[in-house]
Amino acid sequence: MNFKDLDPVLHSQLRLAIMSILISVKEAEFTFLKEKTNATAGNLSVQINKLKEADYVEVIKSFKNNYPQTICKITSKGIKAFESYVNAIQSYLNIGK
Amino acid sequence: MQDKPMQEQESLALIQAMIATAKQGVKANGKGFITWGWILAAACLSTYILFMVHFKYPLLPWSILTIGGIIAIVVNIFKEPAPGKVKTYMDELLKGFSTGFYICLVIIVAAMNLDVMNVLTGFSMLLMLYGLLMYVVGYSIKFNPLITGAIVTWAGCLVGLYLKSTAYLMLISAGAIIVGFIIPGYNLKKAWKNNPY
Repeated sequence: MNFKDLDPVLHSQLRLAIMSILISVKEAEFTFLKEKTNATAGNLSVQINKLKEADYVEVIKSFKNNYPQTICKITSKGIKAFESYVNAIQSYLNIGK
Repeated sequence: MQDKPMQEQESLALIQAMIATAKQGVKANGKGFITWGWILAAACLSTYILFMVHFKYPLLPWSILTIGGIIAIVVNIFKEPAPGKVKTYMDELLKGFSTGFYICLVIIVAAMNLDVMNVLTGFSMLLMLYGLLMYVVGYSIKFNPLITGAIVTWAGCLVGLYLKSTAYLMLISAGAIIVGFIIPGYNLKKAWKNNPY
């Protein structure tokens, strides 16, 4: 298989990191994702929006103790895309052996 | 972390690292174990004292606790989840399990109050249930003091089944709750402070 076949939405370091975290939890706050990925708030926000546009994550904005709170959840489409991405990477690595 | 393309090996390593980092941390803060532990220990010791002074209703503290247990079930079912940066599937499972635990608790206490269950057996069953709760929570968050606490509580349950005196069972229960419930609760609180979600 060609490396170019990998999902371009997921094949970026920060977006893949976000998806990897979200696949292992039910939901996570923006601050949790920022802490775990060591990304800047601006960059993280841009990448989350790209994932949202692809319908891979759901973003819920609310208020907690008068402060804005952003919660991210992976969608079923996101789970399928993530699984396909991992399978594609594994197939690619096996072919390369 | 930058938004840059990766090699295939890097992708897999990143996925593994991020999944591992999301699973780290202790969600349980031990407050529930400490609060309920002291309430139960106080109920055991006060019941023991009421037996010693030949009070007409020595099990009165447990009747009051039954009402408290019913309130706890309702609160546990309907309360908003505690604010946290992340919610895992394990959190959901433990919430469901603790609701089931409270229901079992109320059934046993009600059975004793209605005289359809022997008091000695009933209290031993309560210790068995506490041990189960601690074992499940301890196993799920990989926290050995809670698992040790569960074993101590189960030992208390076994001793209780051989006892003939409810008053002494109260003393055994209080000891089992302090060693097996309250102390691990404080350990858990300390661990949570050092490594919260």
